[in-house]
Amino acid sequence: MKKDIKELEEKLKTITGEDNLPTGEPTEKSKKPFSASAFTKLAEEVRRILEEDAKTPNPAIKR
Amino acid sequence: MQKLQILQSSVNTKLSELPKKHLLIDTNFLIDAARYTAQFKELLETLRRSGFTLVSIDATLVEFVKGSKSIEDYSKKVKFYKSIIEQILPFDSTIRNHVSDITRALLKKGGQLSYADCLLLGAVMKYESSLYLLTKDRSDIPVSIFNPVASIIIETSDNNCTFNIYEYNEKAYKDLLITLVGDN
Repeated sequence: MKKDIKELEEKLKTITGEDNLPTGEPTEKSKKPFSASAFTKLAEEVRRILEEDAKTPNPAIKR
Repeated sequence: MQKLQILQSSVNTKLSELPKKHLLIDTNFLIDAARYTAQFKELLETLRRSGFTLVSIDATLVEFVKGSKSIEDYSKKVKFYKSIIEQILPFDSTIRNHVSDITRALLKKGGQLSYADCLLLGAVMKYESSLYLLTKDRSDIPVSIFNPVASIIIETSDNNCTFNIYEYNEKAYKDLLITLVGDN
């Protein structure tokens, strides 16, 4: 059972894409370039998603 | 209570002079970044130019993506999160202990804070020499211990919103503890 669940979880992860970011101490200077165009495109999509989400309130958006 | 002192009221002037170079990003920043794309694009470029690295904790990712209506929506939110946040701070026993200590010391002042808020404050305490908290102007941040050092005013078509940069004040925390211990 646990093995099946693990396999299904891994499969779902491949569908959604990895959601983990690098972990580390706040000591090193930024290395990742900021892509304004990628940000703008994603922001537009996420704004629409959040507007839809807002119709069913999410506690995280209350602030 | 320490007097509120605004050292920075415009994003274009002195952000680069703030000595610490890591900003701990709260969930509300991510939400408004999606709402006000043009303004936040400019803000993010300014923060990068000022030498800041944007980091966060796992809890903000969970807050941001939870409740997604589809796998596609979830994936887009994660991609958006990753386009802003460079690194996740490790959650460890030091932060856990800070959360416990600050909850005990704040008493009623911490009543409105969520667990994710407490984790953010615990992280700022742990990394006090290198990290600020960047969050929307909120009445529930205990400013006697987490002092605002800069404000960023975002002008939008709806209204203006203010984000503040906070830093941990160890001396104020010690004074609070002395007061609490002295009372008992």
